[in-house]
Amino acid sequence: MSWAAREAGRAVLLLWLASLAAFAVIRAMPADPAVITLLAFNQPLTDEAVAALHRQWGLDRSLVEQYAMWLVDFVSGDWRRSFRTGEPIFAEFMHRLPVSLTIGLGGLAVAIALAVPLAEAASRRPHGFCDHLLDALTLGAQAVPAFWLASLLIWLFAVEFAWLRPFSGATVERMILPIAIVAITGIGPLAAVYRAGLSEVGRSHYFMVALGKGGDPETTLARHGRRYAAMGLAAALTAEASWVIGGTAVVEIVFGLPGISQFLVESLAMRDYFVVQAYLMVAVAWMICVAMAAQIARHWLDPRERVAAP
Amino acid sequence: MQRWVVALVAVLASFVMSAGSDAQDARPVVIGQGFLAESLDPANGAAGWAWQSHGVAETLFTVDRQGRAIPNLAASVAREGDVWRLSLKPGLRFADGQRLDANAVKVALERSIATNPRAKAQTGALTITVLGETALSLAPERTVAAMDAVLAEFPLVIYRVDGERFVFTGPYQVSEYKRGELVRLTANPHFRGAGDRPPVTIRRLTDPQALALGLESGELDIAFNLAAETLPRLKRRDGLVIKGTPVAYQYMLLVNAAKAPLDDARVRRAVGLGINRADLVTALGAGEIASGLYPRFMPWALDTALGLDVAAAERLLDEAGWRRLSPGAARQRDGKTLELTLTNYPQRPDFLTLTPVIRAQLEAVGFRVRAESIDNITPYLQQKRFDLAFWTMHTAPGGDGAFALEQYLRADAPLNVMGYASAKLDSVLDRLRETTGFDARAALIRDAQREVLLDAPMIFLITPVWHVGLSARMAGYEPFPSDYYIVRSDLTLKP
Repeated sequence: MSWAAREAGRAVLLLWLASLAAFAVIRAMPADPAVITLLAFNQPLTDEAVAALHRQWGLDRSLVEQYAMWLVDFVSGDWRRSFRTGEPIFAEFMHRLPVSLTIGLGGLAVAIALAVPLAEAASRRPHGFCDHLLDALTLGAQAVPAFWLASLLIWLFAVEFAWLRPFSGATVERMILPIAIVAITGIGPLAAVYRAGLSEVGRSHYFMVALGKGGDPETTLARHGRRYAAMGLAAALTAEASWVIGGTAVVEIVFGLPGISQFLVESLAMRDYFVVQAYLMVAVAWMICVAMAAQIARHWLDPRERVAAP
Repeated sequence: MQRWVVALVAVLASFVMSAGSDAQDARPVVIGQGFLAESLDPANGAAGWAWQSHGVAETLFTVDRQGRAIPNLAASVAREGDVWRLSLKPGLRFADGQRLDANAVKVALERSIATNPRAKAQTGALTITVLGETALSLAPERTVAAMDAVLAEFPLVIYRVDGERFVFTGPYQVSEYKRGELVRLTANPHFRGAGDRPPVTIRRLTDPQALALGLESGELDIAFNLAAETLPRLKRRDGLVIKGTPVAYQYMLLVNAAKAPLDDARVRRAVGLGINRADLVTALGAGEIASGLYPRFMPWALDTALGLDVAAAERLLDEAGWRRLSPGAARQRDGKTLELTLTNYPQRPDFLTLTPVIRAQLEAVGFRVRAESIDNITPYLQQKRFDLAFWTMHTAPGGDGAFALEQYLRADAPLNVMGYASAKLDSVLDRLRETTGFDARAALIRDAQREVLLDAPMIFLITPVWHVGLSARMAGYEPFPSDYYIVRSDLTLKP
């Protein structure tokens, strides 16, 4: 069996298991979506109203029936309608996914673009300014909450300097700060991984031999270290990129951007079953794609992978 | 020559300034608020409510600032035996110029009832017959005592389906709709006074800090429902106006009357008497002390604010057998301590602020209070696992006070999680179901509240005050006491 066929089979199996888990987890959550919906909008909570909503949403059928019917519909492209909005979920995802992907992937791209030169500068001068800056960014990514950073940046750039209009500007203008926040929180960890790769190469025997042959330390490190450090960076990126769908909720909420993460948070609160199930399926599919891309990247970066491959 | 230059510069300057001011006025009024219509179809979810709040959709009856239902598109509704006769105002039009007559009302209501289960929650099935150009008869499956309040409910907004478009009757019409992000509105040319109405953009901002920052940066003209912690900062900033208004979402404690020690009405009343509501207002920075189930601006509210009476609370607890064995200690009876759990939920940050205040106050009269926060409060309440639980609701969304009483306090009410049953209250509510006159209904609603105050299955706390931040050009905007009508026909740039 070819690599592609094996991976595709594995992906289908994973998606099916994810669909089972998604269905089971959301149904195990306490609270009836019909009750929550009626209460949220001050509507009379009568048995008839609850039963009518259950009927409309198909919740009056057995769990097995509900799962089977949903799965068939989902695979055929009918992701059902949201309990909360009454709108088709597939269209909602297609409308919102680009926003989340732009913020998440845009932030990661900027983070990589800044992390690599920062890590190289830090590895050239250990305990220098760049080295300390990298440590501070790594620590800050863990310690500073994204909502606080977002409020600070809005206050600086929109209120004090009036350079940006993060709530009412054109789309590009509105995206600058959200992408910057994802980037700022990503630079430190990514640069730390890249620096660790460079340092490891710097301590290696083959690097010492190259220096012994009269090589310039910077050129030699660039020649022998970058590819190795990039492999570490790719692994770190896999983890970061896996959370792009769903992981940008804070910036979406603060900046009022209609992404998928904000939609998920609101749908969870209303027990919007079909939205949460669709989200979990999309998130798993995305993670599978990211893992595959990472595998391809590893294959390309690491000659040993190519030798070991059957 | 010099004079000519000065004059020319002055003319140019005044031209530039007037052009600037025209540009300022032509700029849409930008509103930041936490919700946006989730669908263009008013029969989907709560979209009807959102379009009504956005100033686009209207109902046959509406709710005035005192919370009572008043005619809007309808002129009147009157009971005639088992049916209701509805008369429309003459000469009404949809935003596209089409006439709004009895047949259009029938089509809109029947579509909503067929597609949105919430639309018939109050009436059951509703048979609608057109009697004339502006007259209809409505025959509800269930007995309805206040049809005006039913017809003021958002699932019954009036609209016309034109292909894939939904056309409404409100002061504004939709010019652009970006789901989850913004709605752009222009004046409905067929609504009176259209020329005075500026274009409006509503942006969805759910984060309270973002709302405040948007107002400070000048991007928002109206920031709706600001968080209390942002108010001091905003009040200090030049050019901003902050206005507060009490709203119809009353804060209260639900009391588990089916569980000891709160199954004793004396203990429940002691809880109410032991709370100093003025401290709650201070803790939140705003609010009005409650007099009963309804905010005091509503016509069926009780007049007297609920007060603190520690001596009376202590006396009631003594009578119930709960005694202090030493000063400052929790009360005991038969070796058992007078213990309560006070439950809040994080979705209402105000309740997190109020919890330690109420806890300290109840401990001062001899309760031992444990505080807890429950993320998913509804099933927790329905399982009746609580002692005292914070709660809030719009007590009269359609403009009739019977709503909250019927939903929460009748013995078999769907939301009577308190386990409360009072034959006396139920008999008042039975009479309320049969009474149609406004004054008579208001008197019965007040009687019902007095019963509730005596039995104390709910402890009424305060009426919250919501704050709206305004830019200088919107300084004349007066907030409505709920989120049901944010964009209204009186929205103008005039101060």
